[in-house]
Amino acid sequence: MKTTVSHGIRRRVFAWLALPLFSLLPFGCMEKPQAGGDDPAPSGGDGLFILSEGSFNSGNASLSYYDPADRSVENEVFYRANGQRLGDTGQSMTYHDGVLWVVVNGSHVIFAVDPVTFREKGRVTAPELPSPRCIRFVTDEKAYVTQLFDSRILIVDPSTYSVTGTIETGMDQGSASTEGIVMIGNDVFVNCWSYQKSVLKIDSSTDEIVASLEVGVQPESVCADAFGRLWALTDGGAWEGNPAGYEAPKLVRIDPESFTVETEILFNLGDSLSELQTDASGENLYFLRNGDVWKMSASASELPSGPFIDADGNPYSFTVSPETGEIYVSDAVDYQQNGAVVRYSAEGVREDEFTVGICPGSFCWAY
Amino acid sequence: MRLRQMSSGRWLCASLALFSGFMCCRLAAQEHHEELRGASVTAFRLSSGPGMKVTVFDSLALRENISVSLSDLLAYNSAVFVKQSGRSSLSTVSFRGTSSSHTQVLWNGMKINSPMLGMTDFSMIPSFLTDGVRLLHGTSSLDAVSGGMGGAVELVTGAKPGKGFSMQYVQGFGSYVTADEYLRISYGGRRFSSSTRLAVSSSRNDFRYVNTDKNENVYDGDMNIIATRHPVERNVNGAWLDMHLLQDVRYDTDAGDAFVLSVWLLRSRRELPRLSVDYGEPVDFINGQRESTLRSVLSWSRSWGSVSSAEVSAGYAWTGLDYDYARANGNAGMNYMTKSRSRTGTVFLRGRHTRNFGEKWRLKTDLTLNGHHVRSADEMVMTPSGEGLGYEASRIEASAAVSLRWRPVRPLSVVLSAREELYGDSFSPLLPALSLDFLVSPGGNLHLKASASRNCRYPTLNDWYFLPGGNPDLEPETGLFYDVGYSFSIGLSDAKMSLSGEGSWFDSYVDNWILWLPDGARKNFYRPVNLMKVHAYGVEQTLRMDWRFARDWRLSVDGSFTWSPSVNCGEPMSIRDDSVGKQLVYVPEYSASVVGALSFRSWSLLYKWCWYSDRYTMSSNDVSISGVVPDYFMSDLTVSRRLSFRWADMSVSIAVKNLFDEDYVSVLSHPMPGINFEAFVGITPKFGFRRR
Repeated sequence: MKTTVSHGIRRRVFAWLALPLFSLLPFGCMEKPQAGGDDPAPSGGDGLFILSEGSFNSGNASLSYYDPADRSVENEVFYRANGQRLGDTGQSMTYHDGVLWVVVNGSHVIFAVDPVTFREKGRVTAPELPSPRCIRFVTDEKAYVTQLFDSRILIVDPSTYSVTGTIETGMDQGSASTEGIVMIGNDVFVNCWSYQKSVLKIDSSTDEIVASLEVGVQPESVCADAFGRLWALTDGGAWEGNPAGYEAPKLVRIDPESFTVETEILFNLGDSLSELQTDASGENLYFLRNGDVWKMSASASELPSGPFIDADGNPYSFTVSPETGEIYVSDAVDYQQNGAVVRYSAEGVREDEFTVGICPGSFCWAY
Repeated sequence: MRLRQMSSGRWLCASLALFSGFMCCRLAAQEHHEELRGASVTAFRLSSGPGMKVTVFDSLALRENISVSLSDLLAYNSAVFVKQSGRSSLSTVSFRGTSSSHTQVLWNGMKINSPMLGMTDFSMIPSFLTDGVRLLHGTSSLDAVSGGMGGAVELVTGAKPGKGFSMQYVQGFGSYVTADEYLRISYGGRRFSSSTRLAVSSSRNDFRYVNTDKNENVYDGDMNIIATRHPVERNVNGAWLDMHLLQDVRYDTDAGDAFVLSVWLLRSRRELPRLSVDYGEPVDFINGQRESTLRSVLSWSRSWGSVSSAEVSAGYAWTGLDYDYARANGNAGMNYMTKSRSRTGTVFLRGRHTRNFGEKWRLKTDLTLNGHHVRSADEMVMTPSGEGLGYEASRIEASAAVSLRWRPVRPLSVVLSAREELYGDSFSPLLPALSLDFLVSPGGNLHLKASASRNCRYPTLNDWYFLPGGNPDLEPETGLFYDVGYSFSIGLSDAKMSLSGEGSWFDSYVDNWILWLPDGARKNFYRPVNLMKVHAYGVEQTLRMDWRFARDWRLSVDGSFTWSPSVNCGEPMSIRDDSVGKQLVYVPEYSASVVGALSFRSWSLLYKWCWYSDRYTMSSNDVSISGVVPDYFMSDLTVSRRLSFRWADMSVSIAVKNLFDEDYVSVLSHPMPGINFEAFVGITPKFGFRRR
């Protein structure tokens, strides 16, 4: 039922308004011819996909493909291959079993994309999908989808592009938030970010939340290291007056078995923290701190003395190449123009850069 | 520290203290009456100072566009840029390459820009509710208000109606189940007069369009896509219901005093249409706003011959604005994500006085006070105290202006003015303005004009206090504005043809331009910052021709053209910032409009055309798939006939909008309708006729 202007009210008002002074008028409009618009994109393959969020409420999210072998980039590959727009606010990506899954938050859709042809293979749309954030495959037949402003984690069957179930978190709807997903063994760990403080532990065989651990104000991201430990990075609330609290951000190490906090490393109050991840070995942690890329050993007990990469511009996101260890850092520039991705060597030396879409916020390696 | 919270008592005391100081006033508008084919038309002759670039729409022009909102009227009849998010959706107006919040809007002298957002939604202002509209371009706006970096729009009601009782009723009915009702009942006596206007507009607004932004897939049994097509969709969730009631009461004394009370009630419920890139299943959802607004102004004015005039006004405005966003959760319930509630109250006081000292000198003074109180919260995010996340704040804005006109010789006028503003506990810089006007040729009424000024716009309350992101350290935007131009009006062929025009070149530099940007990586909120320096310059040209070329035939053509580069000339944010030297987003560099009206006896044909050039959606002006909103031409056609009976005058008209079925958008991913129609019937009873 749509309640903003209820049909009942509209009907009554309209009936009153529409006194029969006019009875025969042409009300319709001409139908326009269908448009094509396909601009064939070159084929992709084993490379790096970059998802650019676009400007909020403008529907100009875009997908770029970077081939590390010949250092070339193709932008807007989804539109060029399919003749349709990716949508509003491209959020995140996952590569699984030869398919790239692209979550488009504001368009309420998750696209399955062929990483070679960039053609759409299918899409997940469902009434239970008001604000999707991330998708993670638990098995070949089952994926979890986290959401913002919705207390449910969705269970998706990728073969039918359908939602087959939900996991209720019990959060208040208006401030509910589930974000990143990490799997260690049979357990799935989800950080609850916006206005939240916890990390959830889910038994993937029963799809039930078995534990919740409070780690600090607004755990922004999670990852697992090579030693089977879980890490969470909080942003501390990010702004004074946040109902969830405002505190110094921290990096938290968690024992996934006992689901207890093992150690915490505090940052300064007001620091901007995001994008916690590991390299392919899992022995090093990387994250963004105040616009710089920081790297620390997963075995370290304290922060390094300085950043690993002193990035310029407005660093928005980054990824570490699983093959070469190179670091790709996106620059959102002024958030209103095409962003850039800067490639650094594994040692943190700037190599080159290329242009992508507006607000490049997510990377995904297609292998 | 700025005045964040002020008790209502202190607030009222401060208001009264300032009000008691209002000794000076002036008469802003003079009136004249014209009887036109039996219809009483009152036109406000709004004053415009020498050297000022002003566009005036009198009640005659407004009557021709009775069925449109002010945004539609301005799009076709002026040199301003109207940005529409959809049919009867948010419409903003900007002058000379500036933004919508740089357009100040006054209703009977009271500023009606939202103190929270800084802008005005022109789709919420029916032309029917105004007796006069005046566009003050650039420096001219300082004559009325500060902060109009691009200009200001003055709306006036309270014109004295014709003698006796009169009534006008217009009903429109059109495509997408659109219904419009306009009713005006007025009485004009020797002293007392009254005008009651009611405007109701509703529409399902569910036009169909081919959605070329997305595909519809056809799957086989194995869930392989075997075909795609662009779907034919309806504009979902675009309905509106707007109701306006405007009451003007006027009392004129024999001594020349005029008391006018104007009260405007607005109730509106509007849905916000789904984006064309919304792939979600057609589930129930709520995305809409409800607005209740009361605006009232009581004014007294008087003139003492040609020596002096005065006006004192007091007003109050209140707006309740609710915004809800929710989607069905698949369990027969709605999942609310936003329940935004804002309440805004404004007290307004103003005094103006004009005094002539002989023929050469004129002194004008103006004192204005606005007191705003805002309470804004999102009830879906609760704070520990159990209240919705938001803010509550008050701000006093006071303005004092002095203007001195000197006419050393008859053809030359020089106006020097200065304005000082107090907002919160901060003072603006002094805002001086100098205008020159030289009458070159009395025969062609050819004037040369020039002006220069400084202006400033202070941050809105949301800019300062919004949670999260409000930035109390924001500086006001300031700018320098220059303008030179000409105007002329001539009559030809024994007054059968008249030609008039106005042109100006303008140049402005705005510092500390405020932009809302994401607050760093992966933060879920925006923050306003003083970021840009903008150089806006260009040319405005208007031309009007009126030609009675044969008996009973009349042709009038109004045209306007604007070239307005508006360029970011600040420092780059980083080495990759490619926005410096580029046109601002969504500001067209070129725009033009033509309105032609051809009438023969009781028939008339009105053709309206406008064009906006490409608008960039990226600050770097990239010409890419989503980087440009293509230019478009828009044409509307209206055929009307007046019918006169002994007991009433009637009019019948049919309007065709988007005549050539242009496929266009004004904002990315916001669909607009193709060709559509609306028909109107109007009736004006002749009270007092005698049946023979």
